Amino acid sequence: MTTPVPRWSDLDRLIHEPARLMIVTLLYAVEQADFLYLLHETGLTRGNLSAHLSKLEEAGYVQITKTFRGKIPHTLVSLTPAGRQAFETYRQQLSRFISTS
Amino acid sequence: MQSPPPLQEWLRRPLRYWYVDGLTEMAVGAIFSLLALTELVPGLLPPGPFKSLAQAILQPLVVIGGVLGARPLVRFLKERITYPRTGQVRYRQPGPYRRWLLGSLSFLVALGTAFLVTRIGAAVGKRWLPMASAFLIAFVTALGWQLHLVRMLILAIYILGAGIGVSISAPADPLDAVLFFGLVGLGWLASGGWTLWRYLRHTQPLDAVEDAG
Repeated sequence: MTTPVPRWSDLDRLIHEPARLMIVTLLYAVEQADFLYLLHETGLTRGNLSAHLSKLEEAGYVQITKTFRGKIPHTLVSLTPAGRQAFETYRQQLSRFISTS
Repeated sequence: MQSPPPLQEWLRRPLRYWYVDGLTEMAVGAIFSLLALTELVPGLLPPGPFKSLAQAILQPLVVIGGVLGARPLVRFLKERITYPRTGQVRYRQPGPYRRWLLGSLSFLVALGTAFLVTRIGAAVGKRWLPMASAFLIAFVTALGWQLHLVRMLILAIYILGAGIGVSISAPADPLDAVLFFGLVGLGWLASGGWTLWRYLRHTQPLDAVEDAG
């Protein structure tokens, strides 16, 4: 039996958006990263990054923890098991899509 | 048609981030430089119990201290230099079984390497020991290319050159080991120092208000 060829519409739209895909991919490689790191790596503005993180948090893909480092606010972001699974599924679908197209 | 997103490159970035400030390279350089000192110091001491003691314990002390102390020291420095500038990353830690497996594997690799270097030294003569060691150290250094760290390749070539140079010039024992470890240490320190200098030039710590996510 052959695996059905995935369609673009099958891809997780929430992750497929380029900025969010980059955020999720960066977080997949680590246990946790802070807001400042994501800001530097993605090149997004603070507002944009916050908006994308909120969407990912609403979907249950990331967990956001707000703490303080001394007197400085510190926002830590990590991928949840659901987010990790969603990224793995997306990656598999994408590689199948590329190999069949 | 759109090109696929560079997922592999994005996955590499957080791993490469560990080396962004050159602190790890400087720590490795410091260990090699201390190793050079452990070869030099006993040679400077007059014959007697102190010399024997120095020969017996200095090198194991540096190796064990380096292995145990380098990572916490680098992390301590990163918390003060790197994290306030370009952010903090916490890496995924292996589980207890994987940690045990990695520890055992590292021990076996270290043992095998020591055996191999000794065998090569016995086979081709002690004179060529720096060159044989240089090949091994350069190979491990060049693995940094997996993270697309070009400077690691340059460093590997430099280490090879240092090993070959020391072997060809054949200084008297223990000057050969002092020179080789010293040159390797200097190479790592220079690479790390240059990286840190560039990093500090291009980044600055954000203030309290800006850091809020």
